[in-house]
Amino acid sequence: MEQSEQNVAAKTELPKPTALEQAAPQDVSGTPGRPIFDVRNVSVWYSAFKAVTDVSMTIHENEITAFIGSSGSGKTTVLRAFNRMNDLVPGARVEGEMHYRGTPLYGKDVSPIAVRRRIGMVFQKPNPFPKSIYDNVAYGPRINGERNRRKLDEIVERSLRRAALWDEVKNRLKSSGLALSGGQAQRLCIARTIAVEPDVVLMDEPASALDPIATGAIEDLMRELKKQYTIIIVTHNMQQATRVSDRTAFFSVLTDSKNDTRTGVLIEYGSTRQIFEDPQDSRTQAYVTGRMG
Amino acid sequence: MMAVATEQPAADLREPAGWRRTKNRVATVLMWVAFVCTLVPLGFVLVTVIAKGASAISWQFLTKGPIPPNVLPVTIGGMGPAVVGTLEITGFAALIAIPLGVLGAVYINEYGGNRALARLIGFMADVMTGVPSIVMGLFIFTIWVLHFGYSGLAGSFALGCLMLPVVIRSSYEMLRLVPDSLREASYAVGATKARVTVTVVLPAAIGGIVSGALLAIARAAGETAPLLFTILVVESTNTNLFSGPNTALATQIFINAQQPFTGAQQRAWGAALTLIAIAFILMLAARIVTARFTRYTR
Repeated sequence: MEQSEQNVAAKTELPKPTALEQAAPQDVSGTPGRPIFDVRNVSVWYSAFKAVTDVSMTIHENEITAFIGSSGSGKTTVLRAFNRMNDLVPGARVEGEMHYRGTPLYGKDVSPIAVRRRIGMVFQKPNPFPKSIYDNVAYGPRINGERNRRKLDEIVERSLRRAALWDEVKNRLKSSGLALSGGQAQRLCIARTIAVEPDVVLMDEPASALDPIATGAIEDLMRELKKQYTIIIVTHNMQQATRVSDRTAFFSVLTDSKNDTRTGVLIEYGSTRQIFEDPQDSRTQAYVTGRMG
Repeated sequence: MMAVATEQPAADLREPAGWRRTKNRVATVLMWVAFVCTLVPLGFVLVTVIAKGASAISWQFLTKGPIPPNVLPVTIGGMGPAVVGTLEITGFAALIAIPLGVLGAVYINEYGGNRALARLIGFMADVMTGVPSIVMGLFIFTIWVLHFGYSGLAGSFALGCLMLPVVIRSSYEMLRLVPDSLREASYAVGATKARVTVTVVLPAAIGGIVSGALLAIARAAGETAPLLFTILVVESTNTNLFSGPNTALATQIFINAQQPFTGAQQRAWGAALTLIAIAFILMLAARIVTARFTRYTR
């Protein structure tokens, strides 16, 4: 009796209902996963342009962490810092500390190749290789030295099954990966990413080019994948963040009118429920209620 | 008004008259004129060469030698030595120029970035494209023939020098077309730069690279001036590319066409047709091969 009363009391304390309320955010499970990334005071520069300033956050194992925020707020830049994709951009550099399972990601003897082998990435636009469906999925295992035909067959089937694509393509594994529809192509890219058994999957707006049905398929897939992987997703779609993520980080643009510079900052980071129902910062509240951005 | 009574006037969906329509029509006509202008000379060349050369062609003409003196009729001897010479000289030139050119393009586009060396190589390749072929022949004459004598190899060097900038330029343009998203996808599963280049970038660009290389080969096979300074002329087959003077179809056309004798002139037409046929067969073969490589691009 007493307990149920407490629950009622807790419920009434919730802030005013918002339009997003219907999409009930998942709560963070009682025991949070172990920390996997520790980000301390990270700033990312593109030559003389400071794209993101002073980001600090902890990412947890087997959770989906969503990065939301308006364009130019540095979500993607931070995401690409996690597997050193920014290294490929001439003039890009990262300041601050970024630890992955206790190892500094930008340490002296850290190989970006080894980093990306463990921290895979799915991109905004589906980008299958102009190769067969089979070769697309087998690509990662092959470049990492797997030559055994039987093992490759197994990996391809397992990855395509996990990416919920197997039934649709099992009879045409030899046809071009480019012949798939947008949603299928994106699932193929996810299969390609998980074929190397990464530890973390970074997703940069993986559903922004897809229709609602394909988006739903990708989201189901993410919920399934988080049992085995840690997922960080950048999204413009707030409903998507509430639907799939355990934690949410809200980024915004800070404009310095004096010398006309803009830079991305992390405004607020917490459980998805807290960010959407009880935002502590007025800018977060304005964004999640749709009054800004 | 029509049977269906309507209060509103029927929509006029015809193309609006006026300056815009006129411009469209003028442009369309100009394009057709340009198309015909380019096609007509090509057609004339082909028809003439076939009409004048077909009678000379026979199995004997294509394979037998030696190439007879100019005064003799076309039925005696054959162009065999020149066919062999063209194939070996152009083939070896391709063997030198294509790997070098493709690797050079890979360096410029994948590794060079904005480095001064990459830009210099690109610029030099462009300059080299503009060097007249006879100058290239004289260049090889001075640095090679004067020291080691005439040989098919010297001819291959000259033709290779001519092909190299063409291969670099065309391969570079093809590599540039490969979207960065494919490179990123490869990096994202833990590929090294070399792996990305070999397993993703080159396969994606191979169709265009082969086309460019073929154009370079076809052009080189028809070059005459550089060969005059490097291989000299012989009448019998020289299968040794590396020593002794050689001969080629292009130089044989040049020599025979200047003669007043009908036999020599027929030989020149026949050689011209043979050269065109070789280029055509090469193109066809390469198209078939690249179709296999590029079967996944759509």
